[in-house]
Amino acid sequence: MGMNDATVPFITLPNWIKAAGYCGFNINPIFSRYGVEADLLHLEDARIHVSTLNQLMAACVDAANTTGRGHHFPFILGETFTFEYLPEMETYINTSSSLRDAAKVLTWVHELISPFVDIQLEEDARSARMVLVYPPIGGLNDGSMANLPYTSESFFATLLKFTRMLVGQNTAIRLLRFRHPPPSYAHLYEEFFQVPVAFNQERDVMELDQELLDRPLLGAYPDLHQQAELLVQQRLARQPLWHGTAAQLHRLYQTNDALLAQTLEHIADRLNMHPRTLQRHLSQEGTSFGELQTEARLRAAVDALQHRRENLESLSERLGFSDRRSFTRAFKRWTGVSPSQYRHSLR
Amino acid sequence: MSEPERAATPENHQIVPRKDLDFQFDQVPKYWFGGDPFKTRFFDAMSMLFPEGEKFFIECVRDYRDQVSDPVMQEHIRDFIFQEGQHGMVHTRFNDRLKKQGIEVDAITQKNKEILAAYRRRTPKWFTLSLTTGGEHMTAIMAHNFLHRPEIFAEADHRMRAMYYWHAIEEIEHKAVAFDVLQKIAGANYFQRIAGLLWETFLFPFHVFLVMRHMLQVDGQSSWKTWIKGFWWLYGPGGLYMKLLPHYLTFYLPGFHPWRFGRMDAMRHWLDVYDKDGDPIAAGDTVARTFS
Repeated sequence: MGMNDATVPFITLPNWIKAAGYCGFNINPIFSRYGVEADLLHLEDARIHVSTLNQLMAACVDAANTTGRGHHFPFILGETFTFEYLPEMETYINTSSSLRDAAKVLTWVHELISPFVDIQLEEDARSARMVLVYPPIGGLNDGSMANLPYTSESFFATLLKFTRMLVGQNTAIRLLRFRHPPPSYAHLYEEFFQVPVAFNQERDVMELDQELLDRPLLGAYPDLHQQAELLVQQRLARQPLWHGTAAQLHRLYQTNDALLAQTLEHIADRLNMHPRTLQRHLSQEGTSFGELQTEARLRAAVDALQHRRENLESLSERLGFSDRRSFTRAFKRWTGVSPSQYRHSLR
Repeated sequence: MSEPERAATPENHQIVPRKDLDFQFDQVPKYWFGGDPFKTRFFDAMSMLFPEGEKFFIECVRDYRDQVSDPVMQEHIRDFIFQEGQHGMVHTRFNDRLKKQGIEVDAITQKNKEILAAYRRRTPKWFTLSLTTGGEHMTAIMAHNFLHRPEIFAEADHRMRAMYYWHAIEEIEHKAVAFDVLQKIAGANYFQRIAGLLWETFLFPFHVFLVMRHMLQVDGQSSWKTWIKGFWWLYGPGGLYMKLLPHYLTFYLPGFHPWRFGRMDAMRHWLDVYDKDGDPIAAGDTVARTFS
């Protein structure tokens, strides 16, 4: 499985049609041009190549530009997004007792809709941050999803829409940070999002007041909420597994912290593979052992800094860094702050 | 008194997803267990803890799902999740009734949710899977005993009995799933295997009693007499917990496997009746008649 073969779910197909209509063009010729088969009967199983998804997005941006309505397609796609074919997810969100509670949907979105984006919630005493992370898994890390501004534009449009729907139109969203430089249509951002925007940032982040996370919501409906979650769990169980060696390795690290400090040989043994075979598979999927290991270590580090009191020496040792200095350096490259600053910001 | 012992997983074992079951909760009296507040609230308290507990079990097993390459085990996991999901939904429906009786269902559920979320955040994945395995052992031994000792549910409303029998049947069907994932996929050793059950042996009854205290206070039934009589019913000679003890202890045997213990005849009987007309109440009644 080479990296260009990577496919992702396309259960959002009806959302694309709706957004195209709103922008004033017909998406049918574009779907035909890229060989997208629209079949509502098998929508749950529909998948699309990452490269096709990118081409589709670019074609829709162009088509929207030529209609004269002046809409930027990713904004509209994000804003008009609903969980049409995942109704229990919509119910789950609408019956949440707090924004924190609703945020659980983010991990399911990653699993059911967009394996190429993982939205993580971080917080400290004052602010909460929804961060878009682009996991290098399943051969998707050629950067094609992460480097286009369109992905972050549409995800933030959706996040803003649901956040405002739950906590109110005048929600104190503080800032949207984007990694990409200002595009030619940068002037549309503030007008559309109604929020201050910054470009050329370390990460794609939506910042809001921390106190919003636990503010009680009017729509709280605990028993429906509980039932909706059980339905989502049943749906997740029917999902096909992530295929590929990178996904396997990723999962192995997620369930077992102790493996983070282990060598390539040891891990290969754990996966019943020769070390060379493991390396070959990973490189075919467009990634490497070192890359996945570092990513897993840093995720574990963020988690530990948030939830445990472990000192930094023992943490860096447990995660398999050679010393505290190299841990600090790697962590800083990844998050933009040092581990102690990060921990301090959570106090 | 010892538990009958068997070889291993039954051949062609199937876990069957069932849905749309109707237990006619609206016709069940408030004190449905022989008119006894303590006994009724004991089961009601468990019912309140089930939906969040089942969600927790699902998540803990799902942690390891992507590491499972055996297609049979994959299918078992999928069916396990489906069944636990159904249990959660049926118990949520029943718990709705408790709300109308003035019980603080939402607040207790929220508290339960926070406690379980803390386990998910702060303890390693093998431990939460071990908790799941321990919890599944406890439900499995209750299931085997409820089905084969009809005296336990003799005083209960037959619709509630039907609900607990259905739950019991499915708990038995999937009783080895979490165990097998813990042993074969997470590679747990003996101590990791028993850690979860040991922890829960003390904490689970404690949580049940806390919820019961609230319920009995709402009912105006929380007298010393009720509690002492109730504890005698649970812990006295021939009490409910004492009946479960031999089977409970089998888990600590080295080389334990869930399919080595527990009678199966009542379950087959239930399946025969249920498969004929899909009525869980009729199936429960037949089992109760046959084994009394």
